[in-house]
Amino acid sequence: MHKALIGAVVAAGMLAAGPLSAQGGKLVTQGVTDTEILIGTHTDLSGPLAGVGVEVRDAMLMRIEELNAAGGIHGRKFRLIVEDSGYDAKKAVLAAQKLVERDKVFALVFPFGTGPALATLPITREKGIPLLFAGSGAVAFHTPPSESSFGYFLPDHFFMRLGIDYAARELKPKRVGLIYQGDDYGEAMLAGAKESLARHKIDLVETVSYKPGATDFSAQVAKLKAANIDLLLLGTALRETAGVARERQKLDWDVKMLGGFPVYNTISVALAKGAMEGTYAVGQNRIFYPDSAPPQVKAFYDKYRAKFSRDPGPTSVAVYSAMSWVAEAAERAGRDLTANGLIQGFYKIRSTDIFGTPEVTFTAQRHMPPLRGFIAQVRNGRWESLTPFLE
Amino acid sequence: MFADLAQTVIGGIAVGCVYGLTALGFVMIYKATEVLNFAQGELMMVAAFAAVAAVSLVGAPFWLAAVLAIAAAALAGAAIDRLLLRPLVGEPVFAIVMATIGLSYLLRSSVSMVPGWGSETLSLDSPFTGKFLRVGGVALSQDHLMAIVATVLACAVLFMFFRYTRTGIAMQAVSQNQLAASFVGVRVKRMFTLVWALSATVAGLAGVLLAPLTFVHVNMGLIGLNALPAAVLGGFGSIPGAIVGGLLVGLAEAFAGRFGPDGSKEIVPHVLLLAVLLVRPQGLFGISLKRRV
Repeated sequence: MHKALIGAVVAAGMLAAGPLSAQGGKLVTQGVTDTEILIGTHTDLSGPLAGVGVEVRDAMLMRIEELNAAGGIHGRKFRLIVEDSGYDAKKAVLAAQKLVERDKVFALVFPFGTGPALATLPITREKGIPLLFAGSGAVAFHTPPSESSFGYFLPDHFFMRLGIDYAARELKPKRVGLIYQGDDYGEAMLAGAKESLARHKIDLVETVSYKPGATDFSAQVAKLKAANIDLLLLGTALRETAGVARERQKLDWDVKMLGGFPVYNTISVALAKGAMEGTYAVGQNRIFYPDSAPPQVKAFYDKYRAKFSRDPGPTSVAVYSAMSWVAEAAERAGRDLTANGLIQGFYKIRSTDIFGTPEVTFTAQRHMPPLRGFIAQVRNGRWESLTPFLE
Repeated sequence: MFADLAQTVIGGIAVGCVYGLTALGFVMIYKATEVLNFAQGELMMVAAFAAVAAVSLVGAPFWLAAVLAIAAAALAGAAIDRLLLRPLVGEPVFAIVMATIGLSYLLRSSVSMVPGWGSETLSLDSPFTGKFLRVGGVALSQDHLMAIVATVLACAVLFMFFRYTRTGIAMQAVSQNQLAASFVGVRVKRMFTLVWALSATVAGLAGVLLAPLTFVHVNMGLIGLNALPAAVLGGFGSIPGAIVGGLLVGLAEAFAGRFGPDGSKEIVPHVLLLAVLLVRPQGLFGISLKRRV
């Protein structure tokens, strides 16, 4: 009850502040001393996406350690403050306020999860603090172009488009269903699905949703089965993907499944215990397996595993890359580091990485990585890429 | 169509059994001690994690893991009574309820601090997972059937315990009138500990039955909030009522989820709760006690 009241007051405050700072106030520089650059993030360390949320923290810590060991950026070392949002927008708002106003971070890097990250965008925009590479496919971070924010994950509807184009070509479905998370991420998947399916003139005959945090999908999957679909689109995240797959198995149903980048991860596959075999997904960063990875990727793997006792996932790779871009932009901004200088530094980046990703650049109109993805499928418990990077 | 209906019914009854067991635990404690145990769901969660730990660390088969988990839950229940609640005897009920709410937070946070458990979602497979009983063209999940059978057995055991054993009768005496019970020689404090242990055992059983149906994770105890409507529906002082209430909530949820509009599944238990409180506040089996002045 009390929480709801705080949430309502904060929301009202944000609504009031919104129109005044729609395109962002001036960029503000704080959190930079002679020896240190202070950055902050919030991620899910205890909620439904914690399995991936901890990768955000771990990968960022690892990259920062490497950067600091190499001498830092123009003599300044990075220091990171991590807050737990529990994948709850209300907690994320409080975390962001603390980081921006009390800790006075230079930038928020990779705040994780569409709901939580979107909730903190008005705060960083109003205070003029850069929000770099939000861990979300929501378009608000880069469309309309805003000076102070970047998104990392490509728009959910872009993935839907790639996925559905592939499905229309290869799987030729006639009746499509969608299960989606009842939040901003899921709504984006729904909108993307509707748009892309309409373009191919394929019927979206049944859509069902679930509350974030739900673990029982029997009713939803039963409804989808009764609708007689031949392709199930997954607007799900981590354990929900596994849960839906297991429900499908329980009902003895073999409908094909296709999801966006959140579905493309190893945690869901492990949790599903074979139920995800044959599932398709669209990916942004490739998943590598230790026994088949190129040597430099294997080195990354081994180091990550040794440090954190877990395998890195595609989100670890994403965060590692994002932090590398932040460092490169700060380097190009020069010794006199300001928030403005940092943003300009991003436009000078021509980055390639050890993971074989095609070259990454940013422009004032495109505050996200270049639009491309690939299709993959679970075969024998592993993700196998079916296509090269597609535009 | 019939297959669909059958699967919905069986699934609803299975989840209803879990609700019923959780509600049963609530009601048992409430009847004996007049305390609302808001940590009931968390006891279920701890038992589920204990079972997963037994399977993954010790390699125990499901049965053994289940027994160990339930035993651990029983011990936890007894410990909660001795360590948390006995010092609070005589305090206002509100304070004791706050203590149980605090306990629920404590259990959630403690579990989330355990490395390998905390931030993860885990799964527990039973020997029945992935298997079906095919009856007349309908594939019924064996995990669902196991939950139903286990609940029926547990209820039978509890019934016999309360009816035919000295301890069971003594517990009933304490529930009805603590003072009178102590006058006839019942060790009331010991009964309290026993009730907590028994209620925790039932919660542990619920956890072990629920785990193969969904996932094991730190917030799975929140399902205990759905058991409260079940207990109220059945009549808060009635033990068989708790089970029936649980079944009704489970079935209503299953049907709402399958045939109702999107999102109705989540609100059904609470709508039922409101309806019961408006129409028949004493629940289906509850007795409305009127004080004679």
